[in-house]
Amino acid sequence: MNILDKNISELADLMDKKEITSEEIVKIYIQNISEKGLDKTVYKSLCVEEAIKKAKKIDKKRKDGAQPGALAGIPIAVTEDISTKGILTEAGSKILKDYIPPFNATIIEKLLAEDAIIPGKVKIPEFSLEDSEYSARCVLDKGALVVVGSSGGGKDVIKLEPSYGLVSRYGIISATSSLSPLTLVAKEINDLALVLDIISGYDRKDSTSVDLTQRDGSFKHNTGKAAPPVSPTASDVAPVSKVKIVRELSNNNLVEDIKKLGINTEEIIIETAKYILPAFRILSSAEFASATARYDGIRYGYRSDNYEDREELYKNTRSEGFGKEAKKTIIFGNHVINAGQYDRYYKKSQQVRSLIKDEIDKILKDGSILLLPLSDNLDENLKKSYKELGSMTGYPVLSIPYRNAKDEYIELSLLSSGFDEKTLIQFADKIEKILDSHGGGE
Amino acid sequence: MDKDYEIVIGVEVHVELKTKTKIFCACTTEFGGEPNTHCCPVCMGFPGTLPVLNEEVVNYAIQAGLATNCEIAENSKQDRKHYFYPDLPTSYQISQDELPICYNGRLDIEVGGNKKTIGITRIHIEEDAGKLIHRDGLGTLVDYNRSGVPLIEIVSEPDLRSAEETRAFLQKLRAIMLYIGVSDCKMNEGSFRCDVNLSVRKKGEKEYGTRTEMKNLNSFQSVMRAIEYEAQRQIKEIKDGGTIIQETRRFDQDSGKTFSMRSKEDAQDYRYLPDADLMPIVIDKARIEGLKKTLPDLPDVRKKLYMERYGLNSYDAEQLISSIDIADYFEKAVKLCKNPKTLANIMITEVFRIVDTDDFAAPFSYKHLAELVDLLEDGTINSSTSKKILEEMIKEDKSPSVIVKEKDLEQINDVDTLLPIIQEAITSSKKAVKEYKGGKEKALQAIIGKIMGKTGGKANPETTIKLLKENLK
Ligand SMILES: [Zn+2]
Repeated sequence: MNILDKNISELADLMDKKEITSEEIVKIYIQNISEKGLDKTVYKSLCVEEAIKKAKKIDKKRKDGAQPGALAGIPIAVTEDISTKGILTEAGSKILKDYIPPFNATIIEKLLAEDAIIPGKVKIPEFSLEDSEYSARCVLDKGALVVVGSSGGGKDVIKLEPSYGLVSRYGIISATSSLSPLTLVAKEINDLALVLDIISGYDRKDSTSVDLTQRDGSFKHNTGKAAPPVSPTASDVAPVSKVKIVRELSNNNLVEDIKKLGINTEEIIIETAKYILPAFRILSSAEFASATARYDGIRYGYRSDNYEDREELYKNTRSEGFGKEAKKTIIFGNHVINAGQYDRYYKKSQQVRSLIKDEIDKILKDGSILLLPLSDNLDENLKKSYKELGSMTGYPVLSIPYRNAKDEYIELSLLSSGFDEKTLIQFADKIEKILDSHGGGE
Repeated sequence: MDKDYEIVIGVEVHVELKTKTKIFCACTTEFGGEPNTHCCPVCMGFPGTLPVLNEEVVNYAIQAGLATNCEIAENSKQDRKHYFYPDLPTSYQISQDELPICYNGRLDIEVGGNKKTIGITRIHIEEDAGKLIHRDGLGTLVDYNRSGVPLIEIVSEPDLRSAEETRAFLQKLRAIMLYIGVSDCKMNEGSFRCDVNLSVRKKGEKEYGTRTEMKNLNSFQSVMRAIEYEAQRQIKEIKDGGTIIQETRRFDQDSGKTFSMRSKEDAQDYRYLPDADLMPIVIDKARIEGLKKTLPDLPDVRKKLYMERYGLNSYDAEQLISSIDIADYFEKAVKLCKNPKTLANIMITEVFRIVDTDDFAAPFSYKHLAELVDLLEDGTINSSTSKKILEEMIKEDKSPSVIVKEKDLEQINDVDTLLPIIQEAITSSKKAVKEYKGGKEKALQAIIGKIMGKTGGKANPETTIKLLKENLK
């Protein structure tokens, strides 16, 4: 029995049956992390002692007959820009050197309240300004079952960017104000859905978080026990009426594959697509420049040794503390909001953003979902554009890995209306199984 | 002041709101406290923290807007104003740029009997910054206790034309803020701060001149002095063929002069950005109506009442409404006494001499003051003994009737008692008597002084004068 191959439900089952303890699971993961060198390649910092201590506590809880939390004993990692009380949180930067938050991010509070074990904090590039594969690597190499954070690159994993407002942004350092703050990375959809269940919800510390009291139940689509053997048919792929595929991303084989399953498909064009990336860059850079203005060397983080007066303290701290990409973004971001440029760039981008959202709303109005097949062979900029569609609309994007008959890697990104994660999760779970059973590349 | 020139003034007033908690976190707004004990990760700008708007701040701003005849915006938003300074933890101040909560208001003022309406451009909410503390040997330290304390900024139209008008406007504004209870408006603690924008132009000209902004004005006195100095400076500059530079100037208390702080060329670009961490502020009609009901009678309403019901003149009424505490005190006392005018007179000339009208605390109970007014009114005491009684009342808050008895201060109205004293005074004031008979009316005062001295000031002045004149015939 390889514990590292078990998903969350299976591990919970084993613990219920007393076949394994939380402590044993955590130790197996920690051993694997060290054997594979993940402590150096993937993790920025580990919290081994803390994790084992917590696991022991959970085991005792279970022994005493108390009901442990929904994620009891399950290793869930976070990226290093998620604030953790008393634990180093540098957000991949030098400017936050040695910064230790005095509080937990809300998602950390929620994970801990459900007895999740946080084995450590996964690396990111400086403030996640660039794509990184650390989270994906962590999951694939079994450093944790799910990684919650700002690292959303990498292949062969399932990723979910939740709707803006579904998950509290409080304590997420790389988050900019209006763009999607998080990606959940896992190997199995159900694991991802279980974690989403825990971390989502209204938070009074985040005014933009949404109160979804009417949300009907859990995101996970079955009881959490091991899934029954599936003999998939198209009728299982409800409640999605239609899958709309963006033509310029479309891939003949894929469309055929999906059509063969009897799923209603339509090829469409997104007129505003060419504006996604420029508008995204302007908005995200402006928000980044504003959010990072507080890193001035006064209260925490890095401070230059080399200064005579206040002005120099600021200049040298920020010149030495920020990396190249951050500086570029800050300069660009400040440029687009300066008094002379604001209307031309920032305001225009906001208008463009609402046009994009309007168009997507029209596309999704009939209850369909959007499929963005992001093939390895696509133009890099084109791919980047569509990758930011979720962030620009605030809508959820669930991506599943797929290899076609020619072994071409395609990330199947599914986008739905806001707060419709449940549909995406159900649909993705089915389609994944169907594609698997119909051959694909494997 | 040069008669050919006209001064144009607009003011920006920052009023610190006395909500229990700060604008974006749950920290207390209490003044003082050990440095950095009234703060948390949010108001210290820690990474990843988010602001959550204190709705009470919006209520206060709406009340301030309603009390100054503003329109209340159904939709407004908050913006970040960026600049670097150690007392500003996020390096941006959350304020309101394009869409303030209140706009298009006005206030009536009265100067030298002339009534005038001053426009209020807008009232918006924003957060205060912390405070730098310079310590020898330790360098500069920062205290974030004030960081995140809510403020409203009230901006007037450039409708003011003199130092007196400006003072009248600011006093009226301050009184209103005190009436509605949104702030304690202490100028010395910085909870009511004024910046003055001033320009001059030749009379009759349509265009405004270039304006300067004056800061560091921490009393009405400073505001007046700064305006007078700056207006002269600008006029002289123009007359000498110079030009006015748009700049910020600091008022120096000691010299009474203003000094250039920074000019517009090196003015900061604040890079205003909508704060997307905060939701738009949506205010519905029901909320506005609800808040309207909580407002007390405002100064102008009371002034009208004092003039109409109590027959006070405009000046006296204006003095009494200058703060809600004074007005409330007056209103309680006036209901118990016979002559409102006498009450007003005693309050303005005697009580205001001994109390701080900016921070009114009653020196004795209104019941005792009303009693004093009635003692005067029915002739039990005269006005000079009333001053003595007031002094006693300040020492101990006792009934004036009791004081009259204890100190034997009752007015001597009885002719038989007064006459011998008067006659004695006449005999001992030969010089004055001669002068009076020679036509010098004033010489009478010396004799009256003697009589008053003899009676301990208790002689009925009118009876005394009448008897004195009769005996000098
Ligand atoms: Zn605070």
